[in-house]
Amino acid sequence: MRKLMFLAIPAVLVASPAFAQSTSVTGTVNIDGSVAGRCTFTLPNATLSLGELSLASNGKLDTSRVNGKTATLTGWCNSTAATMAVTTTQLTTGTAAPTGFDNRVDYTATAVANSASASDSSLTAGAGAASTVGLFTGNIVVTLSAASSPSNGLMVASGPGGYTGNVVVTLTPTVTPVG
Amino acid sequence: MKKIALFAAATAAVLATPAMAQNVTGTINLTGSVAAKCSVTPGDGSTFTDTVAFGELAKTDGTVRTDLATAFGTKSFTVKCNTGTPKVSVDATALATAAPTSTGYDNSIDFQAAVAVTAVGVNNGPFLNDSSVAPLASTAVGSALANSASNVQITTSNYRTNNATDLLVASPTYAGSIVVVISPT
Repeated sequence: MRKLMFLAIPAVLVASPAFAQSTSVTGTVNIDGSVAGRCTFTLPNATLSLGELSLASNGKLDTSRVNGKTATLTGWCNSTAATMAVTTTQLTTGTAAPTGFDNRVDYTATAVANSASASDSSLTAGAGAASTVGLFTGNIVVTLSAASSPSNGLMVASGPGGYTGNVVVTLTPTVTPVG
Repeated sequence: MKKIALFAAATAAVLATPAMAQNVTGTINLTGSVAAKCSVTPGDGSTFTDTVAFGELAKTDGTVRTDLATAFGTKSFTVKCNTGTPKVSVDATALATAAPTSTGYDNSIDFQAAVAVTAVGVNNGPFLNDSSVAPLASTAVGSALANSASNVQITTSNYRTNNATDLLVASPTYAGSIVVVISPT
């Protein structure tokens, strides 16, 4: 009788199959990266030859030689907060201008890209106010306007291309952090 | 007469003894089971994780880098399964950012994930899933996973934007993932 009692104890081990269950494993590879804010001109330069700047009739500035003239650059910015600004330098020649004469042509340049515009007048130093141009790729059209000479005097003669100035368009990438 | 009676009684007692010598039999039945299971080595856990930080995703011209698959390389893991019918599912999620996009731009990079396993016999791998389509449902390997190190290897390929000329939208946070589930049955 005592022997049979000992044999009853191992029966508890038979209950183990309750642990039988299916187990899967899950692996995850997280990948991340970033894209820096960037602006690039794919066509960074253009030349606008205005030709003869003075009127044949009276020798004064022919504003039609400047106003409405356009040049097109191309480029892109990849950030929604990218800005565009314009800096103008007046047309001048090295020949001195005595009283009654002018050797300088001022103007306003307006750049349009992605339906945004930025402008600057050469009458004031420095760049004009920057505009948000955002995410875009394509043309940056620069148009001249508001041409003037300092005294509306006679334009000093120069050789072909002797009056030089420039319009600088600056695209600045700005990245707004995304939450 | 008394002497005879005593003899008879003693004899009867001796003859009765053999009735106590009977055998008894005890039996212990042993049973057990092994659950179908997979586990990750080392640690015997149920998950494995790794992170690939690509850094800058765009080339100088603004389009997606062409070396991302190389940069990802091969991620190896060791998974032990104790069945002959393991299955694998794969879910690749594109590298993407919430930054808004525009014509000519893209804010996500699709790719294909490939999960190769080492098996003892028939091997239906590699198990593929492109981030542009639905996840690969649980698919039979074909035979048991080999009981060997690095028996699960993950690679990627074909990183791309919607159009090859698309520029990537600037963002410090592009994120994606590859989730692999290996089940014993």
